Amino acid sequence: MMLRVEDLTVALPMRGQLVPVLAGVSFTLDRRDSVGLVGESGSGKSMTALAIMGLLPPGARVAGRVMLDGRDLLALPEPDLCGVRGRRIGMVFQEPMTALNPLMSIGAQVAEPLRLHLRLSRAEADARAARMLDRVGLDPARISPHRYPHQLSGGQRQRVVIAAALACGPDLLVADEPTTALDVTVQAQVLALLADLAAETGMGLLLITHDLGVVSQTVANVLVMYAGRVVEQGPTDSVFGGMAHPYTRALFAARPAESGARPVQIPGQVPDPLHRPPGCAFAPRCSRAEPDCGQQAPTLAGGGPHRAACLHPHAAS
Amino acid sequence: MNDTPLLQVSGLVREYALPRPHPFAAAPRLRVLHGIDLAMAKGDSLAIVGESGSGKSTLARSVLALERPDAGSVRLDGMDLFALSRRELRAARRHVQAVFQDPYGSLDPRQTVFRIVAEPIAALEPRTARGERRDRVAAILQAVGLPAAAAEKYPHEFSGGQRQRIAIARALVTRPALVVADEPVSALDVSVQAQVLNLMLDLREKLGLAWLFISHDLGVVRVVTERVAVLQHGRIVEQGRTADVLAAPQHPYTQALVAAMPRVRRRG
Repeated sequence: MMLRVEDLTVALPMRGQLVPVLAGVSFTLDRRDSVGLVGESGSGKSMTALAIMGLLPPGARVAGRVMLDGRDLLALPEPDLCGVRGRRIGMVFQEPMTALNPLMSIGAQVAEPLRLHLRLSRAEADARAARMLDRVGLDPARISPHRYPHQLSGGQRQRVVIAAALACGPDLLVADEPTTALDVTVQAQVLALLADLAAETGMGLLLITHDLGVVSQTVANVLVMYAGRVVEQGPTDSVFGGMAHPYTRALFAARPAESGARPVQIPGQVPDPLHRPPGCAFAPRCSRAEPDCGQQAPTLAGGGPHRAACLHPHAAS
Repeated sequence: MNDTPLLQVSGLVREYALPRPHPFAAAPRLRVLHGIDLAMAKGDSLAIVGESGSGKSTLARSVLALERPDAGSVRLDGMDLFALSRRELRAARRHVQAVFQDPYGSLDPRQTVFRIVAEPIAALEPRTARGERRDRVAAILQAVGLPAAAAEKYPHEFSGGQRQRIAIARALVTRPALVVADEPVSALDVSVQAQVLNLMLDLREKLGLAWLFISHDLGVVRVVTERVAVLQHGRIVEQGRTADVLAAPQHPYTQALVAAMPRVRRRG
């Protein structure tokens, strides 16, 4: 197994105390595999990605293990981590404008990791950067590698970010809301490009998104997160085919329906980390909650790969 | 029976000047709206959909009389907004209000919710008595589902969804006939988005409001509007009943938009 995240737990300093923001996240991701983390703001999905890459804010306390090909990334010193990020793990974030350096040509930005990590010569790096840009759909004959980010559209910029993330041929790509800032038609193109590249290079894909539609179309396995915990996880078809956790169902019902019917609201709001209720964090908003839900946070249960952390789950339909 | 449409947009053209290629050249002009025609009746809900750069926000700003078109007219209840005097325009603004995308940027952080929501009354109906102001703010906060105590708080004390309720309350406090909402839910989480969409539907039923809804999200448009106009490169390429357009899009651009919508595959 390439990536094995075991019982990942993160606490951040807030108002003078360490507040748990992520608890007991575990999953595995192999080469040629894809995992989606889906949830609303505050669910911990981005925090999971940052913890994996060792990019947590100062003062954060991390526990658990993040094993990449047998090495625990959480135990690596920063200089070693720098050799992992960009080289073994590629990263794509939401905002293609802030992820790119406005003062550097796009070709130079794709060539930079090649020079830094692979120690290629300038000419070699430039040639390979041009090939990468071509591969992500930016034909150097039409869009010169000498252009600057501001001369490109949002979708083109995100392609540059993807080219830079994949330049060194990483084993794992972490994409945090890579298409959220893009138009729908461009989003569809970028998602298709990511899936193609993953299939072509055999890298693993960790996709973070708030969009159930995006996740169901792009990844093989999904983790649904709420208030810092995984509430349901399993193969994408199995999870969406038989949603067991009431939160997964509620999230699904809150989407604008294909029928045009009114979305079903989830009462209340996501609790902030300082005020998470005891027991199941979703219980106060849950229509199926029973008194025992407030006692103890349920753990992921269920035989097989599809599991839900709920004391009163929906039966698979 | 009054046949005058609530909103009549005719032949709307808007151009922006681009930077001059050299100091003595004429500035080239970019036409972002190519003669838009639209009509809305009282209580209508019309969506303008399109991608970045399609001109949808320019259209919204023109309907709000925040931008003067280069040609064409915007009539509200028969009045040509761009032929009015400043005073008349001010009076007309009571009837058309706006809700914007970012509930963080559109509310002044230093003002209480009461001041924010009462501001359109203060600006557009300054002769309203203090007691009536208070009553109207209280009533509208209740209508958008905020507690009365919210009036004394500041925007930072609210979540994104609640802030958008405050923005909607501010838009509705002058009892407008038309609300222009420019991507009002695209910055919100799914569950919060559902709350705000349902609120918009309720308010339309209760108050007989017309919504001009600007969005890139066809899924959201399907829920809140009865009619849709698809804008591409500043031209309306297709319009009709929302359900019909989404079920059987005719124009290739609309077909591409519909095909690109992320859908949840549910295989049992």
